[in-house]
Amino acid sequence: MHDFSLPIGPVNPSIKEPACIQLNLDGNMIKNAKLNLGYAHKGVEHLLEGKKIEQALYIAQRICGICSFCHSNGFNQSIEKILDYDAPKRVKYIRTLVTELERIQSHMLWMGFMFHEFGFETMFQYLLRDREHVLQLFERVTGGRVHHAINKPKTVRYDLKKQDITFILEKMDLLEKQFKKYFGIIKKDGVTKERLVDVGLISKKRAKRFCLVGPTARASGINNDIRDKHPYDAYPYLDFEVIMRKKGDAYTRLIVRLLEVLESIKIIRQLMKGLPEQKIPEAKLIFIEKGMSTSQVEAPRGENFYFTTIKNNKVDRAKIRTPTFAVINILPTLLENRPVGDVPVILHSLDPCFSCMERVIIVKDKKREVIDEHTFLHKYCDHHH
Amino acid sequence: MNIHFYTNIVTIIISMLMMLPVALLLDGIFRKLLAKAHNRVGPSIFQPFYDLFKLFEKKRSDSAGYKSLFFRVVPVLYFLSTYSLFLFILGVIQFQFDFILLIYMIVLSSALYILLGLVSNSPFGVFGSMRDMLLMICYEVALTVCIFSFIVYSDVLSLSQVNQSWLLFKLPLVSICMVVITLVETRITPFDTTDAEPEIMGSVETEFSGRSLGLLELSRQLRFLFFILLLIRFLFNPVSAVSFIILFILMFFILLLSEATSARFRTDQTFNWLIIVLMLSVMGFIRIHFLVW
Repeated sequence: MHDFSLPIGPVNPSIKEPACIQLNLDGNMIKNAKLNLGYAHKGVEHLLEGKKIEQALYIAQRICGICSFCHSNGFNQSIEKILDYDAPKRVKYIRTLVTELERIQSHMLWMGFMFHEFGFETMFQYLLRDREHVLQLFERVTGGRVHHAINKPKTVRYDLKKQDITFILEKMDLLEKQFKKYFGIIKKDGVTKERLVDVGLISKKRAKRFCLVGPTARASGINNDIRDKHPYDAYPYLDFEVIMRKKGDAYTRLIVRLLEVLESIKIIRQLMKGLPEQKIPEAKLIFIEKGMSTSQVEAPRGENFYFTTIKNNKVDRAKIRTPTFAVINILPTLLENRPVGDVPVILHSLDPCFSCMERVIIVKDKKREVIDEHTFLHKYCDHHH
Repeated sequence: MNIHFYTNIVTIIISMLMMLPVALLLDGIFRKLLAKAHNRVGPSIFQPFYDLFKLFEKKRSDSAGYKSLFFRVVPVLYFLSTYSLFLFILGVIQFQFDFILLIYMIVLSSALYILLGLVSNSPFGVFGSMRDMLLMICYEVALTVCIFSFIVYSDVLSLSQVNQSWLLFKLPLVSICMVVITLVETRITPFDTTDAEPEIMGSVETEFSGRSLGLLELSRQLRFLFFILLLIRFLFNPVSAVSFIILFILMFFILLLSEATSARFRTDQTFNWLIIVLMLSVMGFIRIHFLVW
């Protein structure tokens, strides 16, 4: 069977969000792959324009369902930079706590689905079961299981109580025990290794060329962890290790994320130990006449970049670069000359989150065209790659 | 025609009809226990019955495939060929060299499954068939070698005459191969490459709906029951009903354990494993030469 075309998506069990990968096959092998996006475009940047800062914060934290806090934190940080405001240490600690909890739950969800992609349903169910502990923590600390709307300009909504700290530490012990068990399974299980080792290899040079971010880049030996390179919130006061590996295959990416969870648990313990006794400031309305700033936060998938300009207390322009956008461009090249069975594994090893990355660029010249950013890069910025 | 003839006919019909609810119930228990292994609540053990009734009540979809006669007929043929396998297990079909017909019927059932994907209008169906075709080269040949080994070792000419118990210990290589082949035939991880949902969606069944899908589901459940019975018949051949039930539960749990504790191999990896299984089964067959003659 030669020259066979197979569409993966926009509705497919291996892609949890709408996207289409058009595969051209030669028998069982992929000759080339094309990524078609644009099914989940929400026009978030346009929605933010003209909104008051408090209103914009609501939209920002709803950009992504998995890393909602990182978006609100990114936006909030840029606002605080314009105000030239340094938040109290306790506020910073609480923000870092939620960031790290979000990293744990995101990585657990990712790991679960990764196991589901190659048919290890038991591990998938176990990881989702254990993720429930983190969701319980979210409910206790922020009031919401999925959207943790705890951020406010200059402060946070809720303070931590003493019994919360004990509860968090208990859950951390439980998670650490479980993760050490899972680490043992991943290291020993032969089928898992056969499915993941040497699949979706990204060398360090290639990772640099494609400007990869987050755990995907760190699995290829590039340290671009914002927590380490440009520390924000409570990270300057913490002692933690940036998890790095060199090989760059799907198995390494799994190991890196797993170790990052253990590192996050370590960070949370430090946060709970060093939490300063302070009163957090009350939330007040803020007013900014004019200002412009950028901010970076390390979301579970990598660097989240915010560029915000404010005019008359309203957002004039917001540019958001989410980590998936940086990572997804490498996918078609990774799929070339691989069997069809590897598609879900390779795709998922990059941890894509399509609905928070889809952007539209309008190019105005004699011919008006509306295209998504991915097509824009390929069509007009060949030098980019 | 005497009364015994009619009694026999009625017994055969009743036992054949009993296989349907047993297969469905077995699938229900399998799903429930798998859910327990996953730490889920899981569906009721009667869920396969509800699913089947629902599918048979449904109108057929407007898939373009229904224009083709094959698309409508092949699910029925697949179901009939799978269902007829029980005639051998229940001892209805008995004659000299009947095991050759059994092998033929198993291969026919698998071939019809491949045809299902090829006649459907979906690239995923074709892909599922392509995968099964590739694997069939190995697993059906290995199954043939295994069945021949059991028959030759027992030195009989018919399935019903196999009277040696615990052949598992006398022919260990062949018995292991038989278990692996059962995993492939019943599509249980790590060898459920043909059914890999994240890779090729519904595989062969992608385009089917309503009654056709109901028949495919029922055939899958029947196949699962048939292969457990076949394993018990050849590997243990228990004499008493109690030992039969114990061995049935044991085989069921072995398959459940495999489903719950392993990930799925890729097509080429499954193929490599099946080549090894084929070689082992041939070695097991050659070994009989030194054991018997």
